[in-house]
Amino acid sequence: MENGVLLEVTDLNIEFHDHIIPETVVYDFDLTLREGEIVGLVGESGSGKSMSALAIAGLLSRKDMKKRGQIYYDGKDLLSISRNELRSIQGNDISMIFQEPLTSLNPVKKIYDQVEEPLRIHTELDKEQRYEKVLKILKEVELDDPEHVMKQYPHELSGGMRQRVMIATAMIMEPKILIADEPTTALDVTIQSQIVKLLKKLNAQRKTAILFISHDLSLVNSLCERVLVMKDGYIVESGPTKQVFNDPKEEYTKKLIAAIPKIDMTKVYRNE
Amino acid sequence: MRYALKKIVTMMITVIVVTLFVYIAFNLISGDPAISMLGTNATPERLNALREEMHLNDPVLIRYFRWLFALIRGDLGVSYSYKIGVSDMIMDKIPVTATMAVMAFVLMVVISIPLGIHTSKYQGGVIDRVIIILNQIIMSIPPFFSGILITFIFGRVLKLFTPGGYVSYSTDPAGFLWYMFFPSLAIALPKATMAVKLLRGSLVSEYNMDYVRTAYSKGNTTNGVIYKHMLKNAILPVITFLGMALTDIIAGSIIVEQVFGIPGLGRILLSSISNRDYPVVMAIIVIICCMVLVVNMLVDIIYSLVDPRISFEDK
Amino acid sequence: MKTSKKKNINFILGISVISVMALFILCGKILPLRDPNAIDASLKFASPSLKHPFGCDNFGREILSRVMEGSFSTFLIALGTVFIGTFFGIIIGALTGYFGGVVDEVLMRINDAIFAFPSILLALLFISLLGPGTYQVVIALGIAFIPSFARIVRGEFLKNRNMDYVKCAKLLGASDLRIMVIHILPNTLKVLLNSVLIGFNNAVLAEASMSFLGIGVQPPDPSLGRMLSEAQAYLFKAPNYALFPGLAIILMVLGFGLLSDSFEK
Repeated sequence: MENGVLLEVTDLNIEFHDHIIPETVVYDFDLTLREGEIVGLVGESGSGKSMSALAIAGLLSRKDMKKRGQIYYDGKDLLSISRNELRSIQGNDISMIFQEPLTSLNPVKKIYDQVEEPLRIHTELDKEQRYEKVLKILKEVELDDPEHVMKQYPHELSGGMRQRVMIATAMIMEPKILIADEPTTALDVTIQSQIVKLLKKLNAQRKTAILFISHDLSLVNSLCERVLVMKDGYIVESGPTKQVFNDPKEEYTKKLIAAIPKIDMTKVYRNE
Repeated sequence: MRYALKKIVTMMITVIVVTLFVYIAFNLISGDPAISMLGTNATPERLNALREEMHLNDPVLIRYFRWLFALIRGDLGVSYSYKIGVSDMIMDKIPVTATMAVMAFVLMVVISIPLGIHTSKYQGGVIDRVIIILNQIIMSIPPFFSGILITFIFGRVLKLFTPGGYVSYSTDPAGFLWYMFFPSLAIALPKATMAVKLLRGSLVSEYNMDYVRTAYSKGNTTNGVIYKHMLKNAILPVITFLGMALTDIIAGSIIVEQVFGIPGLGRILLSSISNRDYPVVMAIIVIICCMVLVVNMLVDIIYSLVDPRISFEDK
Repeated sequence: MKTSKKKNINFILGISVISVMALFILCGKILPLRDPNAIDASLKFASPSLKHPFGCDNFGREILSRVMEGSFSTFLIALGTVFIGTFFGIIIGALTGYFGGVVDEVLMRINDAIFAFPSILLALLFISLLGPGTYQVVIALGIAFIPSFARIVRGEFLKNRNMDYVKCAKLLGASDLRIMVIHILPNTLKVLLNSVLIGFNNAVLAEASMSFLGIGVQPPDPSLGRMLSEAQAYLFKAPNYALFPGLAIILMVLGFGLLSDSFEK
């Protein structure tokens, strides 16, 4: 594999089989993710961006879904390796955060247990070591009073805090790849910018590659070096963010860009 | 803590309403206890003397509170038919019925939880389908009929126990438990099927929750996701059901005792109903209701312990 | 897709089982069978045969016609019970849910208290006051069933009373009674239908239990519960005596259970 390439997806096709007629939702999806880069994946809802992301994270159930193509990570095809091998990568090398931090956290478990869980699954650390690690990561995601937060339940936290907890859980194993599926959509605008800044900081400090999925083009513009635009299951355009934004080739991309509100969010995020 | 206290207070109020209801119902409809005790051809003088003695001429509320305080002290009144203290009549029967109820409850939990987990995990599999069909059928069997079937199969055909036989818990505890096992099974089976159905449904709907996806994304195995994440969420509606089921089990034991010929509270209750022995009926009904209320309160408290959101909303 | 198919199967199965039972009961009314109470010593414990398909009981009475007659009375009693329970349950639930306030608080406390009684125990309480008998069972079970219906209806009315369509009707000057009956009640029917079906099943089981205990339908009139309690003594000698009344109860409950399953959301 080429130098610095972490993940290579080629010809990914996803088909659903829970209806009488099989339904394809993703066609010929290609993606290369290099160490430490942030790649944006944009498109309206139903365009297949979340499906592709879930497939990469190994979270599409195998029964009613057919996947073709390859997802190469570390010389292994994630689509054909065993469940056990996949599990040893999930939450360890590749982790994921989701759109709704409230429902994505287990309502009846304390924050500490939820953040600590990947350590229990993937490491042999003892109790104190795990505690130290959890405390460290909670500080790193800039939660105030982490000792208190870890004893709380998800419903006792604000939306922004919950997403920070999700990020802490995803980052605790220092994964190579973080897949962020619309992580700010459910949050207020001010919290949004904080979370985006946090993701940027973690990316800079830890060299974690981020696949950032969003329907918000201005966010993607401010965060990502490269971008892929999806429509109806196809990637219609891809390239460096600046190039795609300044000189869109596809009619659809032009429309998406034209739909961005006039206030320049790029400046809001970059200059703060 | 405040939540538990609030629940206890609510329970006390309900106890008072229940006992008042029972007391007034029996006093309004049951007629004159003096006549019940002495018979219809007693002389008016003797009846009046007895009424005075039993304070029957006092207002009903005063009599109620006198009865309630006596009840709390453990004085349940005197049986019309046997002229002995009600508490002497029923005290040694309570452990019989209680053992049967507890045993049935344990059986129900032990049967339903593993089956509920298994069927939800292998949805659409052979075992799942068989269980769904069996469930629907067993659910339709009244407990006394399942008792008759169990007597027939285990008692008559397999000869594992003597139908109609019984040994007291004071003479042979092991034998007593053995004789309690089959009636308990008869009560537990229909309830267990409902619990399986509920737990399966509850778990199946949990599979679609976002937090389950998160749990998988951490590298959990399916069993890890089920036992460490889903079960605690899915068990919440089941806890409420188990509480209600325990109520039904206590009531169901009255009937199943008749099938298996077990001398528990149910047998005395029924003979007292046909003898119109009201103090006994009242006492047993109040005791069973109190058992039920305590169970309900415990369920509420357990629920709040399992679900952190409850006590939070209460604050 | 899958689930709705399953619901359909449940619906068809449920309707079929109920139809079979209805036909069975109807046959008992129409066909010139033997009088269910007729005693014939020569037929004591006669095994099932062409002439007596279910066999005969300890008095030589025909089990088939007794099961038919018993199913009919169980059905009627359950119907009466559910009717009383729903009728008063709707009135109490509607008033408390719609108006709320102190009346609601008090009635709901009383309701909670009655709810604390297992329904069979409450029915036993009433039977011990009213004496055994068919009508007494209907009244006793009916009263025992009111709280659960009231609770469901109250919840629905509580949910609906602040909805926009109710506010709209109020603005248009509709009276409270009109809003309750014309506007809210139809919206609760779906939930109510399901609880009526479940209630019907519980009533069948409760009636059978009461008769089994000897405090329901009085002899010599046949009832499924009492037949089972008599059959118990001859379980080995004449298993058919216990089998057929038991099957009748199971089929009745199964049919309505499947039907209520298919209506669940």
